[in-house]
Amino acid sequence: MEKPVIICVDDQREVLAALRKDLAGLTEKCEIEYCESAEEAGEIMNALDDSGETTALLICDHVMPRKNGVDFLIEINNDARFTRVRKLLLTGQATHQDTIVAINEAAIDRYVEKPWQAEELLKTVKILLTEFLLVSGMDYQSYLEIIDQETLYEQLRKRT
Amino acid sequence: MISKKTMHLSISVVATLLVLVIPVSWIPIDGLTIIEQRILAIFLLATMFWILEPIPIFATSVLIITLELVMVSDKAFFLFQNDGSVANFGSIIAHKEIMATFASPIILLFLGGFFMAIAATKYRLDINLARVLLRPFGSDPRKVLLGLMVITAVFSMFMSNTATTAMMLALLAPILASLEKSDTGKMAFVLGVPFAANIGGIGTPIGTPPNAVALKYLTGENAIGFGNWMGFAVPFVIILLGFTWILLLRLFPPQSATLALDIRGKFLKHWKALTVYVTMGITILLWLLDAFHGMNAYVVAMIPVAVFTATGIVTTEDMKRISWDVLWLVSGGIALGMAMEKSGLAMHIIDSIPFAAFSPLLIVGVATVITIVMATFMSNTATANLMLPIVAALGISLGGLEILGGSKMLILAVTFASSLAMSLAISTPPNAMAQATGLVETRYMRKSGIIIGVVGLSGVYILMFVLRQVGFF
Amino acid sequence: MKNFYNNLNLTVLISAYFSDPEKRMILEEGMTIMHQGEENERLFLVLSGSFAGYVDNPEGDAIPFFQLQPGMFAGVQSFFSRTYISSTTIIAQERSEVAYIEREQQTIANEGNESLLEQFMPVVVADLAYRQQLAHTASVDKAQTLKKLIASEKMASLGQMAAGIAHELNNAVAVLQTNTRWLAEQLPILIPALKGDAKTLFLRGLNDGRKMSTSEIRKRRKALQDRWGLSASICDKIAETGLSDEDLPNSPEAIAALIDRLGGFWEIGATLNGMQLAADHAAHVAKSVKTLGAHHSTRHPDVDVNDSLREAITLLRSPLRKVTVASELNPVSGITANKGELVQIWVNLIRNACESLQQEKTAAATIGIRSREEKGAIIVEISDNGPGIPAETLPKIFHPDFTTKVSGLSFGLGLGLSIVQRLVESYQGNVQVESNREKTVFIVQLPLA
Repeated sequence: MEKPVIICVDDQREVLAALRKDLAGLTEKCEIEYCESAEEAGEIMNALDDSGETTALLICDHVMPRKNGVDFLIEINNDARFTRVRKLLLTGQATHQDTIVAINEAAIDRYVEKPWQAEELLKTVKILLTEFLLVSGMDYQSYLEIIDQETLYEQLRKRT
Repeated sequence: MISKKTMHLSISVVATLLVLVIPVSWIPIDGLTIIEQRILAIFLLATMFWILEPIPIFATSVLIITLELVMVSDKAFFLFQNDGSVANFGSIIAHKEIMATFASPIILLFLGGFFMAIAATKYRLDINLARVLLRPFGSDPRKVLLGLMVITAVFSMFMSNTATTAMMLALLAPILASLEKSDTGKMAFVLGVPFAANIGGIGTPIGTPPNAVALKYLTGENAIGFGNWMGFAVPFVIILLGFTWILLLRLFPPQSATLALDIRGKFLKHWKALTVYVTMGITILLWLLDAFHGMNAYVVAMIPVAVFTATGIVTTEDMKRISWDVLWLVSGGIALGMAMEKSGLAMHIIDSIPFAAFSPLLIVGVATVITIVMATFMSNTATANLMLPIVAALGISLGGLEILGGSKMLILAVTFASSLAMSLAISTPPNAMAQATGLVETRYMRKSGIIIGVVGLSGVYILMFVLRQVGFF
Repeated sequence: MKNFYNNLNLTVLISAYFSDPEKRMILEEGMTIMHQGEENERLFLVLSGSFAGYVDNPEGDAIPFFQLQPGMFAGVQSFFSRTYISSTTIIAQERSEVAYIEREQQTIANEGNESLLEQFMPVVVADLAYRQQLAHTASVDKAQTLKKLIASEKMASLGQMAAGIAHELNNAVAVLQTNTRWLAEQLPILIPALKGDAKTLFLRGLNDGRKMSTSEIRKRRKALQDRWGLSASICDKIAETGLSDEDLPNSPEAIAALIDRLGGFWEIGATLNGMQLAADHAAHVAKSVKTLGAHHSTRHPDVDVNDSLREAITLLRSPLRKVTVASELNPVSGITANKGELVQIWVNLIRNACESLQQEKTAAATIGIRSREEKGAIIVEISDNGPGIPAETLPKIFHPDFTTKVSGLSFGLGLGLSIVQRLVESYQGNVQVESNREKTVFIVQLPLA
């Protein structure tokens, strides 16, 4: 079975470790990659694409050394290969202006503020995964554990 | 104030109703039955709707099928059924047959083409091929133009002309932006791509919908295999493409010395991508060799559909992006043609006009010219839908035409002609896209489009002559 | 102020009127030559020493209204206005000598046959101009003082707020810090399962923290997956703990069982480590914020800069474990300073160096700390052998909103260097930075006086 990939980007290992704990329940059905920089995440996404795997969700911090999160998300948004990838900005330090740019130019799907609540983050991640599975035509029935029911019903209702 | 649309709609409907309600004897066609009268009305409605477009053209197709089912099928509305009192009622058509046009082999052939196009795009085979194929053309703008046109033509033989043009124009956009404002070469590039797509569509039976419609009439001893079609159509495409290239260079010589297309990417190598490459290769090969392995093009077309769905290469979501409207447009055409043929209407119309009095050459000339003019102002497929049933009947009834190649020749000539209309933005979707770039002046498109149309049509005549000489017809 | 007189040529006038040795006086420091509101019938010329003029209250710490230097006149106003009542009180500031003329002074004829008043006209005008300028300067001074006062009040309230927040934070952080430490100590004692290899892994997590980078983890995971065919999540866990092949049993089942049994203990250790790091960091941030608003820290004489450097090194013991510290502290004179502020400066600079070395994984990472005295200033150099600061960012590093490179939990918040600069400037010193590919040096200069 194909495993959708979640990519988490944050320059702080402790934050990644926290994400690792919060997303532990998804590892059965998803692959989760952790990256310490936007550059590393970009490389991973390229490699995944080359090997035919599907990046489903990108969880990204904003304030990072070298390339910041919003710039990276804009890049991904403009890449024809990654049009279906859902984008979540997870940050506590984005300014008002950064946020506007993130929405307008990077077309982020969700914004979660640090510090986050594990439950809320998990719910958001599931919603985004569900959306991804449906838009990419993957068989959602094999991923019921990681799916958000409400989103699923809502999306399925729109189908014929 | 009545909108133009409403006016077109009412005129069409009133005319149709008129034909429907007047006594059969009023219509100057000998031996016309009630059923034929109704089909004539439907044909009139289709013609007016496809020309005036008060509703989308594919909707007209669906309407044709529905009207046929309601008015002339064996399961028609009871008021339309024959209670035995009408003498010249004519032969009704089985509703299953009408409905089957939605899934006729021709439609499935096209579906196979769509599946291949979706898979190729999804795994970036199209763009990677374009990148590799363009390389030998170097950086001389003239050669790059040739390369772009050749690739566009090749792709449009297997993908829709619209999708091919969209892809190539997207590749072109950055270099067009880099060219000087005054560089006339820009025009050559922007026109070269849609023209190549229009011309390339002629190359295979699945290249463009009119070809598919033509297949409906090329049955029995007139049947043409996939490889057979390409055998004569591809050389025609090559020659016309070469002419177009030279014409564009003459009209719009590029000024810049070098021009480099920067297409990045690499061939994907995972199993799904490899499956796509192999399946497409095998499918095309089987199409070309249809004379040897017993499977015709329709059967072969199902192979990629099965492989791509089974492997999850084309998902349910991808299937939603298939241009169902194009398939339905063709279905409607097939249903219309079938009804005209089955009922005998086509024959009756032909019989009522003294075609035999005209020279066969004149008939071929007039039919192709009418086709190209119609296709210039309306959909190529709709043109083929309207022209081909009549032309097919004409070919059969007109003995004099045999010398020139009979109905097979006439059908092919008309089919080719329907793809040669490209002088206006509304002629074809690729033309519309080129116009939308804002870099094309209408008069230049008109001028070059007309020249290509005239030369292309002459080419068609020569091709038909050659084919006759080699005993193809 | 003397300009008004300097430009006058008074030699003739002075030699004509003020050369009488009889009409001279010596005044000791504190003696008054005239009192405000009292009679004064003399016009004085200061020959040596200096005087201060007061209005109203010359007692206590009254501020002098004007100063009189040799060559300047006193009593111009009372003498020439003919009121003969002094408008100021003028007191000698040191032993001074004056010459004078009296009310009855006769005109001494000069070339232009001018009257006495005419001859003294330049003096009168100069005196008027002098007083006018005094008044102007005073009003400007006053406005500036007021502005400073308002600004410092603003700063004070901001500082108070910052200090308040920092204090609150510190309290919370202190609880976190102590409790985490306590947990780390007590867990192995209180939990029976935490012994043997479980304890080894726990301590590994506790002491080393998350030392593996994500790319290292990915590489190791791949190797483990290829070798043992284990699931990605098990391989990830092994990779995170940094266990080498020798540490692992020799079959996939045994490895899976081991990680299943012990992985959690490492995670607990690493989590505690992370909490300690985070608490330490929060404490550091709180301290920095406090300093932002601090302007009341008292400075004491004879503070040894070397002492403060040693203290900073001690404070940074744990991050400095991973680098070599080469310190060369030469004896220097004591300066008037607040030791806490000095420590703050060094901590920020050393921490900065430390971070850049860690960030870039510099081989043989070394931090040099050097102090010396030179030309009336103490010079402290803090250097690292990291890859240097890119030329384009160099001008920006002291801006408060510049974010330094970030690694682990020790992000700089972008305040570090701006605090350093603020503090150093409050000592009238300066910070310079020199950076190339091999070396980056921060040079702090603190003047002795």
